Amino acid sequence: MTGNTAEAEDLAQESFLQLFRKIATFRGESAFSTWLHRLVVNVVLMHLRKKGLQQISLDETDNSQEEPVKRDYGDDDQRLMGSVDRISLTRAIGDLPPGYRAVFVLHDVEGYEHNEIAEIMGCSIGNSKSQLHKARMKLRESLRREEGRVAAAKPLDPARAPGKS
Amino acid sequence: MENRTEDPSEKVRPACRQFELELSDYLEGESRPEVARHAESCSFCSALLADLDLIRTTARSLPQVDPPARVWANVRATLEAEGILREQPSRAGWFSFPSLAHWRAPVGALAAMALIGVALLVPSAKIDHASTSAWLSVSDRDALAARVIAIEDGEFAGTVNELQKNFDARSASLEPSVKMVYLTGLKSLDESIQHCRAALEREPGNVLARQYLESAYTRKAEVLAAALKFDVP
Repeated sequence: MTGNTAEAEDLAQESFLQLFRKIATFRGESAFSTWLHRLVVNVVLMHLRKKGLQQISLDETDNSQEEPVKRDYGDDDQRLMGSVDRISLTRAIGDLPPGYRAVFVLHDVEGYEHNEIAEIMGCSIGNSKSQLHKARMKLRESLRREEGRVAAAKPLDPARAPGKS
Repeated sequence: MENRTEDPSEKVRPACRQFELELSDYLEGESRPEVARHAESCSFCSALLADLDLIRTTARSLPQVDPPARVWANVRATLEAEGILREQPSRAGWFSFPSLAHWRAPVGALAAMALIGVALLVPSAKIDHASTSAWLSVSDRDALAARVIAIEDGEFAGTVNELQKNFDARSASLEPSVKMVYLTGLKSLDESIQHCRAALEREPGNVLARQYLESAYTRKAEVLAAALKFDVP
């Protein structure tokens, strides 16, 4: 969620300290893993607030219906190359706004369900779904941009040069 | 497939808009037959679906990273200072495990194994030198700094061999179980070094293999240094 190894270590440390300090307040009203994640998310959000980083509210209205994907039906090269390397994806995730990143990591990386994410993040299930969709779309956009940069920097593949079939 | 070039100025076709509205639920596994049907007839939406599915699948395969041992050591120290965790005279640690200090380097060796494993598995991973020694204490890292610089100057093998000799000479005094963990970690690092060397012999210009080799040597030096408990000036 921080996009920075050293910060992540500091926050992991703070989270474990909070866990030991607050373990007595766990009443078993939710799954322990959910409680723990909520605690960690709070530590991270507190940290982001202190740093004054812009956050995307998870309570924002789902306006995905108002923002369809911009498309150019004349664009032939519209699909990723068929594979995404993990480093590029990790970098792209790091570039996501914190709200999108948190939901994406919890759902697509760690495998949490939307109802669990809603509880962890303190938002509605609908918002969790909406944030996830937007996160994936932003990732696609970012990966395609990166792919375009790499392709532009590479010498032309002779096999795909004009005149070859 | 629909003819994409028919009207490039077209903004969003109604069918595509409907597809996008239902795409999220479809990817969640909900039954949306019209999504699959539309994807078959629209190359743009088909590409969108394939890309999001690819992103989702790749995300699931991202490696999970455990916090370094330094984090546990700091947590323990803070909790002891706050009186939440009482320090045992015998240094018996949390949850009946041996003292964390006692196990710090072996745990580090295992962490190094895992990190090297990840580094070798991820083809284009960048080696984060800022975090390579994160699981050592600050004093250990300071003591290592000069040696790591020497390593990065190209004296990998010499420096690490010197440490290895010292370790071999003193390892007899280690508790057998601790020694075994060290040796397992070092063996794995040696295998990584051999692997990287072989890669470099095949392809001397392989920058990633060189980075991994540096990383493997650095981690081996850290493990050995921790085992030897340097006297920090």
